Amino acid sequence: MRISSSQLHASAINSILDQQSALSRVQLQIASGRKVLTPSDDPAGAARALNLLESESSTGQYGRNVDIAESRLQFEEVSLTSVTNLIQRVRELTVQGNNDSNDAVSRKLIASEIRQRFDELFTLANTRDANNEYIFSGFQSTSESFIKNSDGSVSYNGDEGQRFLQIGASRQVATGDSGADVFGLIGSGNGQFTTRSSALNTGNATVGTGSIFNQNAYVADNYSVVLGDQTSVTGGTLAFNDDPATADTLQYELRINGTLVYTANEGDARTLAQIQADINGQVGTTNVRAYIDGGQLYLANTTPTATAITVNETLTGASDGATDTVTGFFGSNLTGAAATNDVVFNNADGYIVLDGSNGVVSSGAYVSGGNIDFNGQRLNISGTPSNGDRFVSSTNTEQDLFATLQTLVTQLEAPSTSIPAVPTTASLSSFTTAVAAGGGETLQVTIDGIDLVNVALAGGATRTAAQFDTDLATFIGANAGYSIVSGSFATNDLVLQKADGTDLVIAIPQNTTATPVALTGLTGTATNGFPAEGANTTVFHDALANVLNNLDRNLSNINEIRARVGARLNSTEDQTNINESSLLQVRETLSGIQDLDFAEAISQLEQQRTSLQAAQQSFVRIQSLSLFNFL
Amino acid sequence: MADITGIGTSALLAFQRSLSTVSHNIANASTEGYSRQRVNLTTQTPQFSGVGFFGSGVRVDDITRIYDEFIVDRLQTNTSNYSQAEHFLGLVSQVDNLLADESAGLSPAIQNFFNSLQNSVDDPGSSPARQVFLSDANALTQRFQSIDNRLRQLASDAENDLVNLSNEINGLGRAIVKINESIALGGSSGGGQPNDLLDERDNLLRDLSKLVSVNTVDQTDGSINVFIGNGQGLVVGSTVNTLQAVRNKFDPERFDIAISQGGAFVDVTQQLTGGRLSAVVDFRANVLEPSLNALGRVATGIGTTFNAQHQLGIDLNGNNGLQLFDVNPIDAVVSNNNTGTGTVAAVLTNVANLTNSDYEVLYDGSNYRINRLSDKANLFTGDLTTLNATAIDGFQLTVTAGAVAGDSFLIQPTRNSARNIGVLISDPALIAHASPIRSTSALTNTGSLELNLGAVSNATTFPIAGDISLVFDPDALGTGVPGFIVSGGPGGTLAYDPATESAGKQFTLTAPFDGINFNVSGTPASGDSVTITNNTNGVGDNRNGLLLSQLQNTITLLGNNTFQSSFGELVADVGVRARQGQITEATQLVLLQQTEAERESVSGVNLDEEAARLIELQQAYQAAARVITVSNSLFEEILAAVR
Repeated sequence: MRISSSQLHASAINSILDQQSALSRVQLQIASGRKVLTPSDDPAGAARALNLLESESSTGQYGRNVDIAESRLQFEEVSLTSVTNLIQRVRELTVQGNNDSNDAVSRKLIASEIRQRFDELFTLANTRDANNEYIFSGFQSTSESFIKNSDGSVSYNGDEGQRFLQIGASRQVATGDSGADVFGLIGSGNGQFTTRSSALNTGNATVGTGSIFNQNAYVADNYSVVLGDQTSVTGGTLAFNDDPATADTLQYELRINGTLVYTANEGDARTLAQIQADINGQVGTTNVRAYIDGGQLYLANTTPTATAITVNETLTGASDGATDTVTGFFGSNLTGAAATNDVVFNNADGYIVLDGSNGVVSSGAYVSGGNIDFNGQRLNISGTPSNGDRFVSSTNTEQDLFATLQTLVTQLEAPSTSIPAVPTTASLSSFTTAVAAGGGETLQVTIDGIDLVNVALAGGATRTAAQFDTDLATFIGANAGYSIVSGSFATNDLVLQKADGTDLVIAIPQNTTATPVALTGLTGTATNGFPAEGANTTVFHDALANVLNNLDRNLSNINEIRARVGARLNSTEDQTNINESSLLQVRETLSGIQDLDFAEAISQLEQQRTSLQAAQQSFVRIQSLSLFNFL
Repeated sequence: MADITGIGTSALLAFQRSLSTVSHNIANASTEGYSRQRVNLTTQTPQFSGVGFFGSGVRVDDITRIYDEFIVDRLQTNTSNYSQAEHFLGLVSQVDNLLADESAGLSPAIQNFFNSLQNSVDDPGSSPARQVFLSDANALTQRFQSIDNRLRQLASDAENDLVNLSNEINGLGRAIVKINESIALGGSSGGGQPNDLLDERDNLLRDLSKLVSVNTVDQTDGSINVFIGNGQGLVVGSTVNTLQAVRNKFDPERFDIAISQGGAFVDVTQQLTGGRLSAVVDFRANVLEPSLNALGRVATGIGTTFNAQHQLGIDLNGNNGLQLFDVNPIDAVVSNNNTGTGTVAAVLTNVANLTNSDYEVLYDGSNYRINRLSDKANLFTGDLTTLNATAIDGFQLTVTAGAVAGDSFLIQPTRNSARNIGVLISDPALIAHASPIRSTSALTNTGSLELNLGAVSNATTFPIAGDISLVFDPDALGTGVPGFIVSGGPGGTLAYDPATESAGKQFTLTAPFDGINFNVSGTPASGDSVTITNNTNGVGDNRNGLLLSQLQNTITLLGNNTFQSSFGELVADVGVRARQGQITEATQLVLLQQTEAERESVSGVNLDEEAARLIELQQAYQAAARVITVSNSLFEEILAAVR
């Protein structure tokens, strides 16, 4: 092909320029160490590199988050260790204080150290981190975690919030625990209720800690299991085998421990509930209480005693001539006048479970070691109880760590020895005003024989419910141990309470002069409690044992939390490793996309340099060739 | 004798001319566009002298340039193509470099933003960390604005380019007309080819083809008509139809190219192919504007999703979260050419459906059509009511009646988002890291009840008017049907059977409390309760902050993109365009060089060849001079004979 002279130049120069540009590119790559100089060099790679850079940056951030999470968790761990040490020291002091060899002075000395520990615990519970945030306050990190109330108790001021930190692309770790979890309410006993035997028990039966076998059915309350005699009395009509056409004076009399509780005439019927009411009406004298469950009557001593319960059924009066026979409630066949049947109940072959308001919850035959199930909870009583023995299952007096320490201090400074009574309550309802027809009547209502009202009423006068309420207020003011639980006469729902657990007897011994007038409607039923079990030195030890129990539960709870904190620390470490390896991988990939292979680039540079040199030299050579040189 | 002298003289003259042409060639060896010339010699008319024809010497027939029309045509086409490719590459490389810069691109700003967010979330109560996060939020918006600004500078350069290029084309058109006139004059005066003028006109055409593709049609008088682009007549006869940059009907900052035709200007922007002009138009439509839109889409994406989540939280003062970012609304523009009174407005309905395209709404007198400009897809055809009820690609139009057939509207969902994004919050305490509610289990609970609040979803639910308390009752929904009795909030009951559902059951409260949802697990005891309360004083809470920081890795934008990968997509897009540009430029360069070589091969001056010619002609000239000498000596001989 024909070549023009300018083309010869141009093409030589073009090729030199090309070589130079290629050389400069390789040189730039070597200088920057990067294969990809602009996205156009590798568009997909450039976009990928941007994503990888982001991934690198956020993984780095996760690393910083891990550091923060670790420092927070370690800080919590340190606080928890201090709390653990503190509880252990308090536990030692408790064991020491529980020793009977201590006198009041040395117990007070121990108490004073526990007071110090209490303050220390309060400070620990209000621990603040480097940012001045309370670590046990949940979300409300700038508010004190715990505050002291005016009565010296401590209450939680935070919430259950937990702060999570993002320590991996899809992994978060909790970096705190709420104070309620750490220092909060920890149940004693089995966690929900505690059991004990009554101090008055005379049998040798014992009760286990019990359990909840059906959480849904569980109803928290204070229960009493009373051991007594399960009779076969079911109530009904007294069958006078008699000729009712001829009147006679034959009567059936029922006595408990010698006290007449009921008298029946010919043809009288009596339901089981009525019999129960008859028996319980004389409980103050007989010390025997009757219960009904499942259509059967139970008799139990109000206080456990070895004395047998004697039930006496008697026929009195004159017969009408025929041979009268009576079938008594307690299984006697009484024949003829003045027949007598004594039944002695001394067994404790049945149990009855009473709830906090002394309502019957359950009953059954007593089997040593058998299950006593009621309202979802299960008790096991084993041994030989006496009639009237009582076992108590009470809801937990759940105590946080602070309250436990306070109880401890109180017990050490002023040990309590008396067991509180289960108070008696009585409800009064449906009161209607007294109507005095002839006038001149005296209205008298007594509670336990003490006058509530004792006034002379004029003819046609009324005594209103509101006046009764005023009378009651006066009564309560004058007589200690009585209180109103709720309601009033005016609203027909008065509930009275008597603190010592003994029977509450409401009577209307109305005095009449001219015409007896029935005070209608003043009805009341007493739900009897149990009397105080009296002073008992073991109560102090029980209280301290309870404190120990609470301390142990708190300790194991804190250990559990420490274990969780430890697990979180482990997981942050795991995550650090994961983050680091993923960072390494990201960097490798990134390097594969971006970074230059220097060996290759340098050899390329060398090659480019050589060919540029060749192009330059050949250009010079060709340039010198011209025909004009020979002219 | 006279014959010999005459012949010698004619030879001398002819070789002189030839030598001068060779000299002209040598002199123009480096002249751009020069075609080497040849003197064509021919014998003089012979004289008849009875015995035959005697040659009477040589004469110059004409001087021609060595020239191949097809090669020159191809050269114009290739020049036009190369010039387009080269200019496009130059323009796209600017964007390519701009986006690639690791420190100045958007990616580091996004990363810093989310990193400082996480630092702040790690320590939600810390005011300095919040302040740093706010600063980085501002830095992010400034980064959006600065990249947008640099792209817009390129856009404004491109607009200026269009104006300048059309002026340049007009100037070249006028120059061609002038040369046409000279050539026609030379042709009509009966002389030979005006070789150098033709070369000059070819040079002008080549210059023109650098700007736009060129076609020529030869006229009988030697002049040519010049058509540019897809056949727009630039030079017709002695008339130049001038190009003019006119303002776009939607955007006065944007120019379209119009050509004057019979006094009117006709928009030919899309018809002008080839050359730098089309490179600019191509760059503007396929690189610059999509880049602005894509950048804006990331801005709208971050702003909208962040705001939505931020508003579900509460700030340090316990108030509901505000909007963190100021997000540009969707721009809807009425054409300046509209004769009707219809107006248009658009609202964002789903940020996840936004594309990088603009949309044109056309009214044909009965139906509205919505066309997506990026792929020319017709997304909707129908009447006004349906139009206003149809969501298109993440937005919803509200067009008022009053449009006249031929009216059009332009919808730019994200064009100005990057330019106008801002941060609305300046008080660090207003950053909503906390969740609006928390739950508290009663301290007296004896069962294993656990209630875990889920992420809240409806900001209008909060703050709740009073506590919502759930108390477990085995007979809540009738005897033996366990559940929770709800007091406060929606009230009523919630069925929950611990026997079968203790592994966890999900609840969402009924409206207007539907923003609250939670999971209940465990076996509660009768009477166990949990209370949901406003998160008062919850300064240590970072739940909403965690959700905010998770947005970094959440697929929020069309095409399974996160914010970062959406920007990466833009970088890759531009990168691909630049790469294609490089390949096209290289290919076109080779083609151009080949054609230039061909032209040079035909028309170029080879000095060696000219030197040889020079020697050859010199020798011929010397021989002709010898002929004169010989003729002279013959004459002398005769004179001597008669002396």
